[in-house]
Amino acid sequence: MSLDFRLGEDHAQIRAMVRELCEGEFAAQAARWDQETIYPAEAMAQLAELGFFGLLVPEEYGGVAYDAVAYALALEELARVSAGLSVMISVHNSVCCWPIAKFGTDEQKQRFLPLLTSGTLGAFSLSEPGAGSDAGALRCAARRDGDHYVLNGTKNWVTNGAFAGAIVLFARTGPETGNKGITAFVVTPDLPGFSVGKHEDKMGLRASVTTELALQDCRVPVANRLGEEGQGFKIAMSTLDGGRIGIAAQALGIAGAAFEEAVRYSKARETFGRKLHEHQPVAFMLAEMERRVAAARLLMMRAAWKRSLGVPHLIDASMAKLYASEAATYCAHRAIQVHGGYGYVKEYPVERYYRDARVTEIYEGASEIQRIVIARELVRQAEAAEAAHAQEVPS
Amino acid sequence: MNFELSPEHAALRARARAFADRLRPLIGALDDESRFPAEHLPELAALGLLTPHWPLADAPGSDAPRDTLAYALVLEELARVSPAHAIVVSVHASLVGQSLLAFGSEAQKTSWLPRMARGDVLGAFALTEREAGSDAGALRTHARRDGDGWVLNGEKVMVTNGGPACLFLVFATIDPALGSKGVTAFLVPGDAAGITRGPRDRTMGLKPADVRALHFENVRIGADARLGEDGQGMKVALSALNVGRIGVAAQATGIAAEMVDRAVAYARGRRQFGQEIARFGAVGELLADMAVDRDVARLLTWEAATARDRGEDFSHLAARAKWAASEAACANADRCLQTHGGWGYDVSVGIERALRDARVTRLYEGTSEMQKLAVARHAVASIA
Repeated sequence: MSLDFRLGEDHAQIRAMVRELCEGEFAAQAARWDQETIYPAEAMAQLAELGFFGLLVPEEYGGVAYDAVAYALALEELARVSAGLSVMISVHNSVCCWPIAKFGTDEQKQRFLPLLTSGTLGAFSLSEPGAGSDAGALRCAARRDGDHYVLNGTKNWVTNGAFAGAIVLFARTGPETGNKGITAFVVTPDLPGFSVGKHEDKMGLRASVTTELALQDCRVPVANRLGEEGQGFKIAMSTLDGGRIGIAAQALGIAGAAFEEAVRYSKARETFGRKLHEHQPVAFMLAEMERRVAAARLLMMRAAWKRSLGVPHLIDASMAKLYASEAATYCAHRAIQVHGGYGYVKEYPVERYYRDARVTEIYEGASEIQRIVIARELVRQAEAAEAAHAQEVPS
Repeated sequence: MNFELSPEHAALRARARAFADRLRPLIGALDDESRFPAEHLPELAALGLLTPHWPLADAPGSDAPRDTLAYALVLEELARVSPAHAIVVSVHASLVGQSLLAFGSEAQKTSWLPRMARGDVLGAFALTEREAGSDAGALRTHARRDGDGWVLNGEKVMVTNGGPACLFLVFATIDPALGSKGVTAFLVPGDAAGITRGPRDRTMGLKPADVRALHFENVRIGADARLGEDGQGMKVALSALNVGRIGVAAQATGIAAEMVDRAVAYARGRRQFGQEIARFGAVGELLADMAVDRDVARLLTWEAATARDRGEDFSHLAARAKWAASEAACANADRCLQTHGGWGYDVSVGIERALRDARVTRLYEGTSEMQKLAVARHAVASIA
C-alpha cells in the first residue's frame, strides 16, 4: 500500500458523525458552560448514550472499540466545540477505561467496564501536591492489611474526580522513594475514608470539574488492585502514552477552531478599506496558524496510526503531544491578535480557546517532559542503529 | 491511511542514500573549491536519480517508482550529504524537465528529454532578472518575432546550472505592454550564438552549484523553441515552481534530517561534567526540537508529493512544505552547530557548511514570505 495520509472512509464517516453531533447543541452551549462553570450533565448523558463512554472498550463489555485513529478524531471534534467536554471524555476513556481493560483481571473488567461504558464517569489519579512530572515522588501510602489495602494521602488535579464512579489511582506499597513500589488501584467513592476535596478554580476547561481527593484510612479491597504490587509506574506510563495522543487530539481541536475563527473574522472585518486578511501581517498570522494545524494533524495521525497497528509509538506520541499543544496555544494567541479588542471579550470564543489551550502544554506530561522523552528516544534509536550496523559489518 | 513507505519507495531511498554516502568524503573539497560536480551526472543518471519522477518507461532506473514521492525521497537523500547536488538535480529535472513534460510538443520532448535523462544535456531555468524576483511578471527580457522564430535580448541573473547547461528554459516577454500576459517560455540551446555567460556568482552556500548571470544579445531561436503558447509563460513558470517547491522542501528536509543525526551522534560522544552531553536537559531540548521540526518537514513534503501523485491540487501544500522545511533546515543547522559548541564553528567539521547551504532554501523558488501569502490565500478561500 502506498503512502497516504488521508482518512479512510470509515474514519471519515466517524469524523463526520461526531462533527454533526458537536455542531448542534454542544456548540451552542459551550460558551455558557465555560462562563458559568457548568458541568454539562445533559451533554455527558447524551455522549454516554451514543457510546462515547466506551470508545476504547471491547464490545463484550459494552464498548464501541474504536481504534486509536477513530478515537483521536472523536476527541478532536469534541475539542473544537468544547475542550472541557473533550477532556472529560479523554480522561474517562484513555486513562480510566483503557488501563482497566488492558491490565485488569476478568473479574475487574466485568465489575467496572460495563458500569463505565453505560454512563458512570471514570477518573485517573496520579498527581499529588508534591508529585507532578516527577510521578515517582508520590507519597500516598497503601499499607496491606489482610484482604484490604489502607490508603492514606492527598491526590490532586483529578479530572472527573468529583463525579467518578471508578478512579484508577496510584499509591505507594513499597520502598519510600522512586518508581518501584508504586501500585495501581481502582478506587470507588463508596469506600470508607474516601472523600472529594476542593474543586479547583481553573483558568480554562471550566466545563470540566477538577478536584482534590483525600484518602484517610481508606480501605481498598485487594480485589481492586490493578496489576501486581510495584507495577504501578509501568501501568501509569503505558496509560499516559495513549493519553498523550488524546491530548494531542484535543489540542489540535482547539488549534483548528482558533485558526478557523481567525480566518472567518479576517474575512468579515474591514480596516483601511480592505478585508483584514488582505493586509500582509494578518495573512502571515493566518499562514503561521494553518501550518501548525496541518503539521499537528499529521504528527497526531501518525502516532494514532502506529498505535492502532500496535507498533512502537512512544516518540511519535510525545512529538504529537508536544507539537499540538504548542500549536494550540500559538493559534489561540494569534486568533486573539487577529480579532484585536474583540478577541479580548467573551462575546467571541477565542479568549476561551486561549484559556483552554494553555493546559495542554502542562498536563499528561509537560512540554519539558515530552522533550526529555524524545531526546532519550533519539539516543536510544541511535544506539540501536549502531548495534544493528555493527552486526551487519563485523570489524 | 498509511504512514509507511512502500518497499519500492524504501528501496529507491536506500539506493539514493548509498550513492550519497559515497559522495560524503568529497563534499568538503567541492565546497572549498566551488567546483561543479560534472563527473557525478552520468552516475546519477545511470542510477535513475537524475530524473526520478519522469514517467518515461525507458528512462534509466525505471524499475523504481517514478512519481513525485520518489523525487522527494531522492532529493532528501542527496541533500543530507550535498544540498548542492540536490538543487542541480531539482532545477534540471523539475524546473526544466517537468515544464517540458507538461507543456512540450512531441518533437520538443523527443528532442530533449532522452538526452536530459542520460545526463548528456543539463537544463537551467532562466526566469529571475535584476528587477524581477518574486514579481516575476515584471521581467524585461524581450522576444521579438523574426520570421518563423524570435530574437532574444536581455539579462537573466542567479541562473542555477547557468555554466554547464546545454538547455536554457528562458522566460521573455513578447510585448512589454501586455505585462505578465506577455511572458512566454522558450527552449534555448546553451550554445546559441549571442549568449554570454557571466562569471560564477560567489554565493554564501551551495558553492558546488554553478550559478551565474546570462546575457542574451540578438539570440536567434527557431520556430520550435517556444514552449507552450504565446503569453503562457507565467503558467509554465508557476507550474514548474510548484513542483520545484516540493524539491526544495525535500532538499531542506534532507538538511534538517542530517543535522539531527549529526547532533545526536556528537551529543552521545561528547562528555562534559562527567557524562554524555546528550543526557543534559539543555542539550536534550535542542535534539528534541530538531527531531520534531525534521518530522514536520518530512510529513508536509510527503503530503504535498502524494497529493500531486494523485492528481490533486497541491500548490498550497507545496508552498506550505517548502516554507516549513526551509525554516526547519535553517533552525536545525543552527541548533546542530550549537550542540557542537566551538567545534561546530570549525569549517572542517562541516556544520557551518550546512548552515550556509540551508539559508538559501528560504529564498529561492519563492521566498518564505511568498509561500506564507499563498498558504493564507488558500486558507481564506477554503474556509467559509
